[in-house]
Amino acid sequence: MNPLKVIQLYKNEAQLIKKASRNNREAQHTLYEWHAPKMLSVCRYYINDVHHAEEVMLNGFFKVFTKLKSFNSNGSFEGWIRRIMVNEAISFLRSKKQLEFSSDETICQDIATNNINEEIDVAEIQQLIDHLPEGYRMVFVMYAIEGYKHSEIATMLSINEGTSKSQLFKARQLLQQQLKKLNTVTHGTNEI
Amino acid sequence: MAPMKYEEQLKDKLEQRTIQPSSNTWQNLSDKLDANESKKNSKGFWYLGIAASIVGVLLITTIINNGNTDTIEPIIVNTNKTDSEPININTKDKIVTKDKETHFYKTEKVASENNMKEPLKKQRSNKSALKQKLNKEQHKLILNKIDEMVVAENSKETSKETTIKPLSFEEQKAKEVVVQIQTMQQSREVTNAEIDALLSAAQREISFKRLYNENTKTIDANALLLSVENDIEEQSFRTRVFEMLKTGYNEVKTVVAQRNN
Repeated sequence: MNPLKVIQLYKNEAQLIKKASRNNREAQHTLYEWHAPKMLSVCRYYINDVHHAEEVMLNGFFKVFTKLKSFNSNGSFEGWIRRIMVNEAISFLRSKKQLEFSSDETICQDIATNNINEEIDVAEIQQLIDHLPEGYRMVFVMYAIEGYKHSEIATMLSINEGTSKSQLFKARQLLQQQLKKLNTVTHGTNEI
Repeated sequence: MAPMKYEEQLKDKLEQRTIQPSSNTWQNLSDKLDANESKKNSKGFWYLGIAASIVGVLLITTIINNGNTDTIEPIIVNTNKTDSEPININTKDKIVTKDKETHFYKTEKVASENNMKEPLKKQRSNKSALKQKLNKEQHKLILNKIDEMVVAENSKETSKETTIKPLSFEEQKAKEVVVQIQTMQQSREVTNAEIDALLSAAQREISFKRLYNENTKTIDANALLLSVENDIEEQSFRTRVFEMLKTGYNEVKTVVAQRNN
């Protein structure tokens, strides 16, 4: 992207945020239009059902617009929204009592690092993640996709760091097994 | 635990994905935001209402408090006014009438004296005219002095918030003196000295009545001191008048003597 265009976009976004914080519905709509598709995708990482993901996204945007005055303009607006969406998803799963973490802490070992098959579709990846238990999936997405540290995950999910690590290890194990299965089915090889 | 290569690839693929929300989601969100705003406004309205009512209550209490003090004060003032004002007017009028009466008798006496003297000595007519003038001046001065006294008495009385009783006594005394003079006049001619004696006796009685409190059977020290001071002032005033008369008489005497010569 042209850097001038990026600066322009940033300026526009800053102005829109200002307007939106004054409850300008048009500005809020524009911001929503810009960020909603990405945020719905983020919510979908954590929540199986797209309608529920949409519900969570709407709640997240409601919080975004009502708490917009507390947004520190020095940081990234997208990052701020994303964090709200993740918290909203965690709250949703907690309310549905779907978020459970097995307490056993296994010693984590590195699993063989292989490249993913290039032909694998995003929908297939999402399906693989969807098949993970809630606890595994949550930690895996937060760590591997969102880039949170174990300490942060532990704080956000109110669990131990060790639990977070073991959940990630198990999630990886399961995911690799599923990827192997997928490759065997689609490409006739058990390599990931 | 380092991220694995396939995880990074998963991340890249997922990050590139976007899901378009359904068409009515924005409308839902907008409605929710509107509802929240109206809620906030209503909350603000309630807070405003509560604040306004508190302010109102405070204002009302202050007004009531002020109103109470206002209503109390006039009551006191009204009672004072009702007690003192009419009395003042009455006493003033009465004392002034008394003074007028005495003045009238004095002038009458002077006139009668002049009538007697005129046919006897023509030379003395000028003297008597001058005397009359001097007498008038004296009367004027006395009247002024009496007025001042009356005003002083009235001010004292209003400040002390005295009742009608002593004033009625004064009135009674004044009437008594007038009646005495009238009875004396009917039988014979009344001299200035007699009138003065009657007046001074009445004055003494009044002042004693004022000093002496019958209820407590005590004499008011302050009033006594004040009356003594007034007497001293009166004396000095009297001597001044006499001196003035004396000098005036001497001047007239010398003028007449020089003219005769």
